[in-house]
Amino acid sequence: MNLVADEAGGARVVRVGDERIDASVAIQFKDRMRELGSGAGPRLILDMGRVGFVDSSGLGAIVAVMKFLAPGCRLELAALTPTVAKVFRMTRMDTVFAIHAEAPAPAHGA
Amino acid sequence: MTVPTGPGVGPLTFTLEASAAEVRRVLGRALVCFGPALDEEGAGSVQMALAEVMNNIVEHAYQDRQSGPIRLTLRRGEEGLTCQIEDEGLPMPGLALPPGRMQPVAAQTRDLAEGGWGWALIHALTEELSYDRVGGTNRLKFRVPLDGAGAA
Repeated sequence: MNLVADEAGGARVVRVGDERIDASVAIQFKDRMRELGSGAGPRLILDMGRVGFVDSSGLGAIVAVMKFLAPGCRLELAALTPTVAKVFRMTRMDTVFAIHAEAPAPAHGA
Repeated sequence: MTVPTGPGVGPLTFTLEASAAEVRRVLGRALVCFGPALDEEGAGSVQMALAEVMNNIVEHAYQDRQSGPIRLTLRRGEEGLTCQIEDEGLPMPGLALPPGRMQPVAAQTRDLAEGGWGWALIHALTEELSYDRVGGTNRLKFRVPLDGAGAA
């Protein structure tokens, strides 16, 4: 799973390079996020701009990440594509996460 | 996996061995075949509904064995994409469709559910959803309405 962590705008930003977070990568996603989230400050922003599809297993994995980062670090989401935004809306998980239109730009040109 | 050729309106049948990786692969193929006949929102709805149905088969119908076949038949009609999904796994509990009510959102982060949305999504995204157990086969049928008509 292609996940790249950076610091930007006072937050740790993890950019998801894969086009899907689904049942076939959900466990891998959680494991990698556990590593990338360790030592993060109060906010971790997941940049979903390249992700075109999240199924309920992927959604569950994202919720699981939010739960294991809390309470020290808040998981926020950025740049949801239309189909992904729809899953969050239909499950009302859009009420649980802070969702930003765009991810903050990296401090150095990554 | 049987790979149908060419774009179009079907009917096309995809046969796969139930696994998360195969579900991902067949969804990709189905979108290649039917993508030209769908707009972005329609393609999203189709993908969501089919992913949830097939993931349920992988996780529940074949929970007692390594894997088994899934047959997916898709046909683009005037009202939407008609879908039939068959497997040879365990029957649905009570031989009935699971209910489709979306679970409430827990107030506390630590209490948030990490799953359980699948059937609510399937119900919300589809019309004329039906389930039959025919011999040793589970047969689920539904239509994903397209072009702005219908559900969700």
